[in-house]
Amino acid sequence: MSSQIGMVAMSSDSAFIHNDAQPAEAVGGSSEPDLGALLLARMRAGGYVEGSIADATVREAAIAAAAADRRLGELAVGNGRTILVRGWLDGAAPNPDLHPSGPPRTLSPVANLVWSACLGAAWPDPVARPYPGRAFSRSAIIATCVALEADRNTVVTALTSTLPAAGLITLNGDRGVLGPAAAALPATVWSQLGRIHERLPRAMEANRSSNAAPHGERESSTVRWVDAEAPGPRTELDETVRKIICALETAEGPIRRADLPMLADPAIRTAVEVTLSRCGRTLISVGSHSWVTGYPSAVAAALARDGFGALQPTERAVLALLLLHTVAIPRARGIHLDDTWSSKHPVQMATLIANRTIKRTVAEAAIRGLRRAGFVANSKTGGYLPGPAMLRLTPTQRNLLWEDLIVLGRPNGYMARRIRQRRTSEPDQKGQPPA
Amino acid sequence: MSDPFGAADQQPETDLHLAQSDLFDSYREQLSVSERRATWKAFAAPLTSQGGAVVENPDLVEMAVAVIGVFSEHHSEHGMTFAQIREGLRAHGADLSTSAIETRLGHLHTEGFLEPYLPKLHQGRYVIRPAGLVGALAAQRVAEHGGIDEMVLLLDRTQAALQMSKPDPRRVLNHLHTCRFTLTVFARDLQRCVATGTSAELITLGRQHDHSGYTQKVVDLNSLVSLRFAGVYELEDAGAALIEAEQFYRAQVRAAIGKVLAHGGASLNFDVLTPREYEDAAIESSPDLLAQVGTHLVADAPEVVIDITAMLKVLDDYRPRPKHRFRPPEPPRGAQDPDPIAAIERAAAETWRRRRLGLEALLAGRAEADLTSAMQTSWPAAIRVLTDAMALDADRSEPFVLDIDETLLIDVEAPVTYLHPARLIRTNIALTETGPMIEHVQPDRDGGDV
Repeated sequence: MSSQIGMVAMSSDSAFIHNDAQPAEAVGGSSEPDLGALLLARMRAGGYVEGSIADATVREAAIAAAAADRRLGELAVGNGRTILVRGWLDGAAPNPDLHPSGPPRTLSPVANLVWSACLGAAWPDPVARPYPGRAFSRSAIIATCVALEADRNTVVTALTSTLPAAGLITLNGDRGVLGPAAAALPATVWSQLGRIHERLPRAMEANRSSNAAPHGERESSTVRWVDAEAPGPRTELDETVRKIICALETAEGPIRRADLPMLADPAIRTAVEVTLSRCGRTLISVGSHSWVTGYPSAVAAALARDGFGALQPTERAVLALLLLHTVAIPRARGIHLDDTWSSKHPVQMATLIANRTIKRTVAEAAIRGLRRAGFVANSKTGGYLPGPAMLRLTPTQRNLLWEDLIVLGRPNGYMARRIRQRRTSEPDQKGQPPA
Repeated sequence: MSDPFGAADQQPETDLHLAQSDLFDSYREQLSVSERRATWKAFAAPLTSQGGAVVENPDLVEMAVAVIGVFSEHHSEHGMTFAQIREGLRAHGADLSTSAIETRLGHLHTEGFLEPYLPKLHQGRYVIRPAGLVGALAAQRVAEHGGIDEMVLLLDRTQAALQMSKPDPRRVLNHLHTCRFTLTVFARDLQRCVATGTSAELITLGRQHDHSGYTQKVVDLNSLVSLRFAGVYELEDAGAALIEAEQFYRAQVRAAIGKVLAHGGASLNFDVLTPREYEDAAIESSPDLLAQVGTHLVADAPEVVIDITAMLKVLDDYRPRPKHRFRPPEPPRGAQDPDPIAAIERAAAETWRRRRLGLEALLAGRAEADLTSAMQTSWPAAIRVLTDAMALDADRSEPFVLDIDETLLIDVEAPVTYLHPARLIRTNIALTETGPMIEHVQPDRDGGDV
């Protein structure tokens, strides 16, 4: 489905990227991060990037991504709009069974069923190009899945929240098509989907769906992959670095060191760190037992400053309540003495909305957004806990979050004022935007 | 001189005092016994002549404060007895043994904290000496806030002396010197702790020195000195020295807080505030204040990986529900299949047949037989004969009638010591001979109760 092209033709008058590329070594330091790295970080935070981007920046990002088995591609999404998406190099794709301690993020059973139904409705002909596919009806997909004995509420959540957030489908009212993440799926995945095509569920309301389909039908398109510089012959070190980065970047949470013994080698670890830094990422040690990747502080600060992947105010408010109840209060009581933003003390929705200024509907919507962003996870025993993204924070970001809660706990105390003063006078020291 | 921390000092003092008084309870809970005792030892050192004079148990100090509460609630005009005080302490929740309370009250009496209402021996009623009251409250306060309140108190006293209509320059000078000495001592202590103290010690100190408005008070005091004693260089110098001392103190507070921030964030040490403060923040904070948390956070969820194996499993697991319900097929009937109902019926028929044959044997072909002799052989035989005869008698399809006589036969030597004579009658032969007897028994059978 992919077609190699030359350079993506994008204008260079971007508001976001306005300078020439900087050395990759600058990433992670206190200076402004590398533009290619920042572009890749934006794609990590939002799934894709829309808007005009300088050719040099795209080229730089594509070269950096290729070192981690990724590639960039241009995708037409209708109405003359073009977005930049990430895909996998030919032959590369994450392996769901490789690291038991840190499996990749996959769909839940019902979300898989809904995805199958969407695929069956949008992609009736396995020979045709799948993206964006035939428009399908939201109600038809729900009816199809409910007829297969799936829980209706779970189906609705998957259809309206999980799959659109993952970029696998795009919903516009009652109409939906396949999303940009579907277009960027590896070719091997599409060939596997083609083999199981006849088993995909078909819409129950076929008539309505077929009547609705011609209206607003988009022309099919494929990702035009950016041709990065031809890499030299891969060494064993390159392969090892690519496997490690693939595992770390697609893992839902930290991976045990025992599952990545190669990182104990200083040379390999340095190579991984350099490759990650060029992709706007950094290697983070969780305690003394696990590895995970995250945004370098400077990259995170730049993304937050420009609003890419930043949390909404209500999401931040609910996250603050969740962290107070699950981390700050237990630790202040000496119950929980771990040094990470993890917790074993889930909080219930009723406790969160004990703060009467936060309404239940607002809190529930915020929790959904936080879960999508990785900052909240559901506890197996009920309630909510800090999510895996909390473990992806660098020490600097962890410290900033700790300070935020100290300021929240005693806004008029000396410590709060000292923190505010330091952030105002030394904005770059911790990557925090100036007040 | 300006407050380095900006406008937060402009908060109304009443609100701050209320908030701080709420926090003191939490502080007290967190202060360890050794910390409180160390503070009291230093506090009492100028007053004591021997080592070890300070109590070991902080509850004893709390008891002295509780005694004040007991006296304030009691309405007696002539003081209270030890027993009344002890009851009052119990009502206040004092968790000490009776002997400990008695000993402590005796000590308070000996040292003059409690003095007799009348200066007579064995008078037995006591009141609190006001100096003792102040001492108990001061001991509690100094343990809670490390004596920081005294600095504020000294400033207030100096300000009060300056605001008099005719302020005494010597008295004001003494106050200014005392304020400066106090500030310098606290600043030196902070400096030492910043250099050598642990994070926990710095956190405790940070809490104790986290009081608002002090800088502004010093500035106001200096302005007042310049206003009231313009040209009196000795006093103006003392005011300037006080400001220098305050700056030095402030620098040490900042250093202590900076060190707490540097260490606390790395280890996520939330002990810097009390649990109560976090709980209050979770309940009372406005959405705007809460939304200031995590402004630097960026979504960091990995992309979804399509797992074809999981998709296939889901497609296998979720099947369409049939629209109509079908009855499951009947199992095939084979000769070997056990039929439990038929088995029960066969067993019942076999039992019936055995009973009938048994009674036929007793009749021995006759139309009527006396069952008494057969029943007299043993209790099991009597039971078996009677139950068989009664069962067949109750069945209308069986041609048997049981006639039990009302006469009771008793024989202590026989195997069956007592029984009624009984006769069995066949009804389907020789009706003419047994007709009267049948008529005699038939009403019982119609009633179904034999």
